[in-house]
Amino acid sequence: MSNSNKPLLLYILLLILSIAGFLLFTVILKINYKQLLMEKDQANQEIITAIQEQKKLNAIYQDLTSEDYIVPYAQNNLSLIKNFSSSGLIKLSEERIQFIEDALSKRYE
Amino acid sequence: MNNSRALLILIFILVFAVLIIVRLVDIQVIDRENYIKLAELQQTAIDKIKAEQGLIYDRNNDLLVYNRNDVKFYIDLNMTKENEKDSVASKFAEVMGKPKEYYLNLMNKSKNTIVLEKKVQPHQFQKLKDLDIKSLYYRPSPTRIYHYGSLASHVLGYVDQEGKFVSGISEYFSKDLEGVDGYRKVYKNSFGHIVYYDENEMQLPIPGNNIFLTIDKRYQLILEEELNAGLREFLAKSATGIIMNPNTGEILAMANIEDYDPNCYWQYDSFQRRNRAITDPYEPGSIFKAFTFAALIEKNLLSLDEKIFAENGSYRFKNTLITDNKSFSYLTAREVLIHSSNIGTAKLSQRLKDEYFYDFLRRLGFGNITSIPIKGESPGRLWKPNNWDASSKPFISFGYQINATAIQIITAFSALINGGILYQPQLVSKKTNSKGELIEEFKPKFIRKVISESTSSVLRGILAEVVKNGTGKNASLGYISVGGKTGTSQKLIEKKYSNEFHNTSFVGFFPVEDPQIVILIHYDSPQLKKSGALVAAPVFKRVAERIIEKNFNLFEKYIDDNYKKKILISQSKFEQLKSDYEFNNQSELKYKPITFMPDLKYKPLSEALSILNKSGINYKIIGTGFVVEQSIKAGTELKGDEVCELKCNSFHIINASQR
Repeated sequence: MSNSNKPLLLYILLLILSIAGFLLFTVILKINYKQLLMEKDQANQEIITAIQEQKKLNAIYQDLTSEDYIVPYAQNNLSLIKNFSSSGLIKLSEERIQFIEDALSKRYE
Repeated sequence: MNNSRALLILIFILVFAVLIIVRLVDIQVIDRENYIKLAELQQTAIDKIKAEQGLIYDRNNDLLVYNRNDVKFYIDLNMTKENEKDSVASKFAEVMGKPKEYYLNLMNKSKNTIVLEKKVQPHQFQKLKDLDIKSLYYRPSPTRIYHYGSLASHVLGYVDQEGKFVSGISEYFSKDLEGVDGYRKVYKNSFGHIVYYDENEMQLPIPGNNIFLTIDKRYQLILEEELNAGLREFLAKSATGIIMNPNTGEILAMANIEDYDPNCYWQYDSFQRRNRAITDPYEPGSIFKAFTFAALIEKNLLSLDEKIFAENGSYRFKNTLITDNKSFSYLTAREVLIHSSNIGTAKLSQRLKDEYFYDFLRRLGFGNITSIPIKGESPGRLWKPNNWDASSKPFISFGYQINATAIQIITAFSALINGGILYQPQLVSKKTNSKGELIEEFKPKFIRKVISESTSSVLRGILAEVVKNGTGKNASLGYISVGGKTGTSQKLIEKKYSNEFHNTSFVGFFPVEDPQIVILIHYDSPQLKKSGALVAAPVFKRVAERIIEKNFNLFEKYIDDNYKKKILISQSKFEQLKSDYEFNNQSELKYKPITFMPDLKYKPLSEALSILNKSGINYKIIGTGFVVEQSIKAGTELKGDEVCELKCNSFHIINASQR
């Protein structure tokens, strides 16, 4: 092999190495892209699941805040009774009211 | 020699190399297309992306039906090692709450691919997806959730195991709810796991549209609870109820008891799953007299005050005996309807020409489907006049020899009292896309004018008297005007009218002056009482009462002021309150002394506390809900210093989403 051929061989070798490097880089990039694509798909699925979960929670919220749930719960579990204040009126004189107030403040002072 | 041996080896290698090259050329060049196809078949697949199904809401935007992205787990047992089976079984047992042996048995029964779990919920899936077993894989398995279980099940329908919408609004609007599935090209590894998909060969799915019903969840609940209570009270075979807005045809509630839970529809039989309100026609009995009277009044064929001889309860009409439940001599035409006289109605019906009567009933929708948006509707049966015999017209006039479904009856009845307009029953108010944008709004659908305003007004007045003084007394509310008609018919069993089995019904409306609500209640074969007046009318009353209480603002203007207080505090509660207290001469309030321990078991805590407070017994509470245990035995004599310990159980709401 003559000395003049040496740089050419070196160039060819470099070219081959560059092409190999480029191909390797492309392959790595492609694998990475595929991985990211699958991650994106998974993230999309998680978003859909989260939206569905939100809908479910919304339905539960509507259920728990409805009168049909609150009133029986208040009556059965908290011993609350309906306020029938508009169904009757008690009339007392001012002196009587004062007397009751005094009696109450005396007892619970 | 060595050289020749080396040459031989070289030649052999060369030949082998040539063979390989030939084969490679064959694979890569000559048969390239076939191999590409084969590789594609093995490595790629078109993966369907299921569109998310549309949601269903009630008229107040309460969410009734939604979706959950469950997954189905498979395992390929050919490729699973024994130690892997054990770890899979352990993990699944831990997450799914089933015994480990269950999964081990499942995996030892077969050597092929099996389904390990059909419905794994998202939170469970999060814990299972990290199992690093190559032969274990999963696929999406979307699940439809009916949040309120059986509530409005016959209206909603269900989704079968193939993912197809069955019955109800779901089936009718399946094209809207389904959406459009998408697809993508996926690349799989040797285990069948997706490793990559092609974004350029992908079509995203279009989610289904959302449906908003005319159903009011609150009314639906009331109707179902009261129908259920009536079913148990009267030991009936089945019950049906519909609540409708007579001025628009909107269905506010529709129920059949027994019903089913769409979340587990396979546990119920076809009777329970059938929407009998639209599929099962029956002879309506005396309810039909209202339609006969409408025909007569519309044609001016009667005067409401004219006297009709009611034959003292028994009348032979052309060899057929017609009887009344009560014996009447003379009744005015008005009283014929008020007291529901079969004889009087049959006699009056003779004034109607056959063709006119038939045509009138057809115009009201009898013998034809109402076109409610639920599949499977029955048209009922209304024979043409040329098929009538001598007894047909009188019998039809009081609801025999004609079959109609509950939806037909309430639709026609609404036309009688709303001024004479027949509306198509409406179940859906609007459709939106998945983003909430309006796609279509449904307006009340006018079918035809069937009677005049004045006929309708006269009928409303008579029907109000039916409730006030006639057979419908049990439906009277007192504080708001109610009109309606009872109906009882013997059931036709093996071509004979049964004395044992009856259809009992009541259709009523309120307020009479401006009808806002029509309710139809029907009980099939009640065992304890056998008339519409005794079975269906009281149930109507309870439903109406609760609707008014629930929507007091809407009905307040129609309520008699003297009675307003009675809605807020029912008479019985008031009497109870009064009897609980004694007043002495000094006008001081004193509790009645209780000397024996009351029985508090199974009472709600509120009620138990009320009793204890009034009796002055000291107490201690453990838990909430209902009393399951009391430390002082019921009936024990009290000295006054005891402390009663109440143990209560908790009250949980379990909804479908937690199944």
